Amino acid sequence: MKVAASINVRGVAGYACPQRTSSGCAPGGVLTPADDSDEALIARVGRGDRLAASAIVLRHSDAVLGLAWRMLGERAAAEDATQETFLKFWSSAGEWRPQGARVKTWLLKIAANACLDRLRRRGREVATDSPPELADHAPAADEKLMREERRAAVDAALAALPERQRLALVLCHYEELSQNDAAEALNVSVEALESLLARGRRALRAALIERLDELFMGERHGRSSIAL
Amino acid sequence: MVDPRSPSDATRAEFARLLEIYGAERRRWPAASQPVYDACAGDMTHAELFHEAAALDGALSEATSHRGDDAFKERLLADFVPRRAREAARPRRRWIRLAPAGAFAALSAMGFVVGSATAGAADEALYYAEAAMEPALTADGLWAEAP
Repeated sequence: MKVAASINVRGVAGYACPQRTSSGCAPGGVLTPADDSDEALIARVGRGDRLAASAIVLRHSDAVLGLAWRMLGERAAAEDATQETFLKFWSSAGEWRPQGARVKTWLLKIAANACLDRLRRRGREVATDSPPELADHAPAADEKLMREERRAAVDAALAALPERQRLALVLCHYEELSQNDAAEALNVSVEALESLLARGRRALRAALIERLDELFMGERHGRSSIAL
Repeated sequence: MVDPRSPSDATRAEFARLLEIYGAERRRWPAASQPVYDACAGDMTHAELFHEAAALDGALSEATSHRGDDAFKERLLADFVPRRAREAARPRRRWIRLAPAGAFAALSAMGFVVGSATAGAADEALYYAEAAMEPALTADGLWAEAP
């Protein structure tokens, strides 16, 4: 059956289901909003629906790549890990059951394991008590430079965290998973997740504290929310 | 039960503990703990701790945002998804997997039939050729019986 839809990076336009109505599609084969849930898409991926697979990629590739990039610190490795994640995801899509974790959580769990494996192979983990080396720049002349310097400082501090503390922060702060989902993705209890988050935040604060006045001074008197 | 008007010391301690874990943004707190937040966020006991947590939240938000560009997504879609989808679709197209075995069986059968027919014709041709040549061969004494 010819699929009346086009796929591009902006979305799956006019997504028409190539399956019959027994697959869950509305009559006429058009994907309805109810069909557009991750759960419905995964069921279709298990049946070889190319468009459903594309929709999952478009919906979650940013989150997977973002996590991999923060964990691995470089774009090429992050892209490889993202591809590996989706490969593993598809190969097990038929085993996914709706009563389990959310699809995004499942994907991020696969991505987290892929990243941890790569980091172990690299042997690149940095000890928690070694603060990041921050560049000793002259005071930034303008706001843009100041912002760049702040960004570099925070990136360095994040990169210096032990991998599981960094992973917990990425899952909770950047990917905004719930506590239960983040614990599931990390394969730990909620209590263990909270311990990782608290230690990660303390380490970040310790890493940034020496440069806080310098880096965030401009903001301290303006927006106190980003002053440390 | 958390009293929002006068939080207890235990509630304040819990507030401090959760600030260390989840930061100063209410939406990041577990739903079950949000009454603690509501009771203590305006309380001055932990004002400095709250300020520090908010600052760290802000700093985290300053980190580089890593998102895939269009080219990477296109590669994922163009190179990866169709291949995986085809693999996943294989069970529904069983005839493709069975085609080589079927073709082999058909060719074997055809070879047997053609081979049999050809062999029969060859035997027949040989018989008639021998019959035609027999007198000449006998005359030359080539097939003559030994004395």
